[in-house]
Amino acid sequence: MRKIYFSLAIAWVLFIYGSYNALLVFPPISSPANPPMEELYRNVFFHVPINASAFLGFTITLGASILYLRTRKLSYDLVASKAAKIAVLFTTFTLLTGMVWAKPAWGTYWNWDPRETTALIMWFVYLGYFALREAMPAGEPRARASAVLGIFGYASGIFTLLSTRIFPSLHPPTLGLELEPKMGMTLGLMITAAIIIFLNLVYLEIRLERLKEKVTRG
Amino acid sequence: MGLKAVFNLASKDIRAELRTKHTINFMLLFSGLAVIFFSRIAGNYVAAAPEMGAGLLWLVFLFTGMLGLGRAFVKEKELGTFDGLKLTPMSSEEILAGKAIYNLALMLGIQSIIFPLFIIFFDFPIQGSVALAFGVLTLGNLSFVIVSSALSTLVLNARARELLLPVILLPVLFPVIVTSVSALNRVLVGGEGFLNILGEIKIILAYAVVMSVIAALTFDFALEE
Amino acid sequence: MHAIELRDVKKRFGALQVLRGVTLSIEKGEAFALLGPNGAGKTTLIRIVATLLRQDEGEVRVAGYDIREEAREVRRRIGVVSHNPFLYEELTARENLEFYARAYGVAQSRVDEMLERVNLAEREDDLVATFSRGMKQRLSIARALLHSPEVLLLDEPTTGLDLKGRQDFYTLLEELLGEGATLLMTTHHMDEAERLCSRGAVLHSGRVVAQGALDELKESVESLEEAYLRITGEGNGA
Repeated sequence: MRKIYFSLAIAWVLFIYGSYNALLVFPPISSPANPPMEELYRNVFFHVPINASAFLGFTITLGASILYLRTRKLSYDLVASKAAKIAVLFTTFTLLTGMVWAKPAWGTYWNWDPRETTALIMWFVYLGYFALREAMPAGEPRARASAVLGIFGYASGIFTLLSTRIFPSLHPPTLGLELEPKMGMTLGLMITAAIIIFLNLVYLEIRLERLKEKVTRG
Repeated sequence: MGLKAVFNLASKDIRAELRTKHTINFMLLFSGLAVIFFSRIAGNYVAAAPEMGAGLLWLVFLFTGMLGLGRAFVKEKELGTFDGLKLTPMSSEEILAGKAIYNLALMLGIQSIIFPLFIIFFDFPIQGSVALAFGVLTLGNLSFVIVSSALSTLVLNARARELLLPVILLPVLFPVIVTSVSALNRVLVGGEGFLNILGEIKIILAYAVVMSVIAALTFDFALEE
Repeated sequence: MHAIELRDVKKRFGALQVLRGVTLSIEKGEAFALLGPNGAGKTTLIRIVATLLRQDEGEVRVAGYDIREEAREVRRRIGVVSHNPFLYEELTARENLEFYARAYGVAQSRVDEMLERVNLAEREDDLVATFSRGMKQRLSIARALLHSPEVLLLDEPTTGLDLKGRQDFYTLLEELLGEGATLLMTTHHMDEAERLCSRGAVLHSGRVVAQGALDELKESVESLEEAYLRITGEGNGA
């Protein structure tokens, strides 16, 4: 447990240092065509790391779902569901930070851009995942059903990204984003911090659930 | 996978359904009503912007399918014949394929009645080939029934399964429905030919294949109690 | 080789431990009765052997095949009759059997044979929905025997059968036993078990509390039922 607090402390230090850089140190960029963007570009330091960890979370859910079906160990089900829970939370923030960006950048809060669409569909897929879990008593059948849905849902996310690709995208490309070295480093720090925070939250959720089980069993 | 076993199951279901027509009548009635409602509410707008048509048509299929396709397994469960089915040496893939074919037959039945009805009620100006449009619809429905047949077993032991099924199905179906609407639009409104919509067709086919593979790999688990 | 072998089989549904480590072995050609009060785990045990439920722990083999790893081989060799007939009401008796015959890969001539054997040849083209409970049960027996299973799993098979149906069913089972089939059955009727089975086991709260020859078991069953009634208070008024 002490290790967890330690890594969490490091993550928050990174996060605060990164935020300080992103919000106060870096100068406004030049954007004569779209003046609000001069300051709003700072959003990227929050949007991208949160999105990256949410995506990692859904991937953990996929992996744990497959492992559950192969081993039938309920601990994998616990990992899958808790990773999905925090990933849904992070996706909510991804969507919100995305909208804040989209309004000044592209004119509307919502544009059905491929990435936006994929994040939204994943959000709904995993809300459906929790609806299914809510509707079944805890145990093997629930773990099995949600693991299967976890696999279908992930594939659907990939196809959503693929299928919207036939339309032109507004979203700036994820790779090849041209940032000054210092900004790139800060973004890297923020991504690391977000992932550590994400993993810690998942871990704490799992511990909480385990303790709950212990208490109810007496 | 034995095709004989697959068709044996599908033809058993089709025969039973044709005898009572409980599900198909209900689905036809519902989809007919949906077309009438859409026509009255949005008919004028579709006349002005025919691009809306394909989307509305797919909504009708989607809602009708949501209500009817889950029955393929729910009926077996309710009648208690599901155990009898699982006791046979049919593999889970054969059971899934048989049910998917039965569901496809249902959707094709709906499609061949609702599509013309839709054209009539909306006085829809068709620019492209009707046969190609029908083919694109069929392809979309094929993907639709594969995923809905596979996922409908997940809710069998859940509370309020009728409410739950659409909630878990719709997001998973989203990419293929959006692509099917786009392809249908380009044929019906844009008058485009097969080669122009090849991109969409590839995505729908890839979706059908990938989802079939996932379904085949996971259906053993989905069938367990 | 045993026809059915269970080793330390455990099963729980949520918080409820239904089977707490059941070990049994049933010889080939033997008729074995599973006895015990409601909720003892008899049906769960039969459903596990029938590959319909997955045990949490322990090993089960039927005709030498592992029920988890070689479920299809097991399914080819078992016939299951329960109080639920597994029949499609909107299909005729013949259509039901034809469907199952194809599913098992059995020649269609078996359908006629089985319809004769359970005395339903005259009603073969009637919908199952029009059948009485006893007729459905007879048709269900025909369905279970279509593929000439080596092992018969019977879960309260005579529920809903009248006296005549019951007698016919016993005669049929005795014929099958004579042909070398193995039989595992649950029942509430001691006379039914006595007529068909030579050995048995008493299940209580998911454990085998007694097993052996039926005449020896008879006493323990009766004392057990008394004890059970006393505990639950059901016997007070009676």
